[in-house]
Amino acid sequence: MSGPARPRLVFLGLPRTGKSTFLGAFWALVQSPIETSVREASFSGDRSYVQRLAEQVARGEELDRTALGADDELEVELQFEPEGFAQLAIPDTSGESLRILAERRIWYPRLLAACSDATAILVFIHPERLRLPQRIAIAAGGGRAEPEAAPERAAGGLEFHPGDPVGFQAQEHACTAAELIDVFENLAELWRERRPIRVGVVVSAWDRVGGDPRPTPYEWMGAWLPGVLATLESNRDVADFEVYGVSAQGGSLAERDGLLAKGEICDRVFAEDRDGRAVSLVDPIRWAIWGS
Amino acid sequence: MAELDELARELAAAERLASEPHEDAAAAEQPLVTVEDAMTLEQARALSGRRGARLVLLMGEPATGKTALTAMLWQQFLERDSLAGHRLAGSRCGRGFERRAHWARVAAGQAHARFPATRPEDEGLLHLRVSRPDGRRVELLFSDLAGGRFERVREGQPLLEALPWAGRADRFAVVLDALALSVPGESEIAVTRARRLLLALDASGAVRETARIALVLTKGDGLSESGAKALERHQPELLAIARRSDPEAVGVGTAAVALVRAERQGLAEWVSWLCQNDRPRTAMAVPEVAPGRSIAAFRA
Repeated sequence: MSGPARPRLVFLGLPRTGKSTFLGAFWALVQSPIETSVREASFSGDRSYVQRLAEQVARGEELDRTALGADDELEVELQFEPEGFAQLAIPDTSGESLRILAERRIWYPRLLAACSDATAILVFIHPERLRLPQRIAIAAGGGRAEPEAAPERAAGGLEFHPGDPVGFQAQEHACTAAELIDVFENLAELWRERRPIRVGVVVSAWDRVGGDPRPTPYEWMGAWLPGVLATLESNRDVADFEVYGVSAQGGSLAERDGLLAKGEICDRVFAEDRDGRAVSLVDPIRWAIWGS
Repeated sequence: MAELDELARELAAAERLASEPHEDAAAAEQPLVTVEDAMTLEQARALSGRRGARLVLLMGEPATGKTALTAMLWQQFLERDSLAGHRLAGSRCGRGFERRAHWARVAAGQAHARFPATRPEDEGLLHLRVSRPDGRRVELLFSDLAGGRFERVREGQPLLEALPWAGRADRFAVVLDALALSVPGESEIAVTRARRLLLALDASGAVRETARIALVLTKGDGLSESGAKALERHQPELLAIARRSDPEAVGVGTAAVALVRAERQGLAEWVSWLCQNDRPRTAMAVPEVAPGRSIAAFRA
């Protein structure tokens, strides 16, 4: 009989993209008798860190920012139905460490170590914290310049006041897509000897994504980050790719009372697969471990 | 405020980690394969040696739209899933593309897209990986050179003296500025300058039998009626010169930075031309594998 799988997952995302919230909600589901597809197989080990995250999610609290030098890690043996046992390790990497890689162009040692050992990566993207490559379009007839129309994207539009040219500053102006493509290029190099690995994109705060009908997670990526989607799909030999939309709080923390009125975490949270089908919040991790 | 202070301390600590001896120093020293801006020849050699790469030499005088053409191809790939079935597959120069594309974005604070001239110190190669409709990935290395180099070539400096590595190029794109073509008095000058670059290319012997040449019209949406007539009049002759070195040379019209609220034009044709197979070496077509020749033989 073969032993348990030994996946090492890395949650990758810029600050405040929902990594710790997702981890807390996931842990709450592992504990919940309502969620039957996964359970804790061994009770031993220090769970204080994830337990604290789960409790903050349960209370509808804003989670503490993961410190750059934090060395918290979830290491636990889980049983997934029907796949089997997995000795899962998820180091909680700080969003700042990815920012340092993307903007300052330095591998933070802990992030490098985590990515080097990873069997799969979940990339977190917050739909309201994207820097878009918004180009200038000039109104016909030589009128004033306006941001390029993107009605399905920029609800409310952008204020635009042409004045003195503003020089390029990568930390302010490099778009999210360019940063993610840059990161992927470096990850692909790290994994050169052991491809393909799994790269899942988790669009967090999925409850805030609007539209009638609301796009599927795959359609959302195609509309907002088409260059990233194309890059991931064009490198299947480097990484298997999947995308999910998740709401790991189940709503807005600004409306905490209403949020808590929805019930326990397992009643509030929800997730969708690439086609918009409702799935368990556990599914991104299940896919990262076991694949499709 | 305290949080910002804490963050500043953490960032400073991270930079120290990367620069000072540390138990994790070996990890921190893992080099990035992506570059800060454009690639040097040395970096391009390293990439090409492993993956094979296609070198694209954009030839044109200052302010003819060479940089804009390259930057807007990147921009288009960030906005659209595909271009004539071609999809973005990565880049090691994302930061360099962003720096150039910035001047066509709202964040630059300009009323119109206006690209600064490429300075000699900013010259380099911009890497773009494109997946063709057949799934094959093509590594493109676009030259981004100061237009002044081509003024000297037009004035008589041999191309291989101005650019010793030009003989390793796989695609030569000679740029013709449609706006200049549309201005009485400038039109003839623009045509003459493009003609002289094509003649210099022909005289240099730099075009290998598998390489391709295109005459690329930039700023095509600014083409006036008189400009269109000038193009109609002169393009056949310009292409005839190009076809001395590449019998399959083509003209590609582009409007990479749309002047009016309109779609960019010609980028699909442009990327299709860049990614199509090299010309076969013999009369019998040879199926192309990875670009066999590497720019590892570049002279710096």
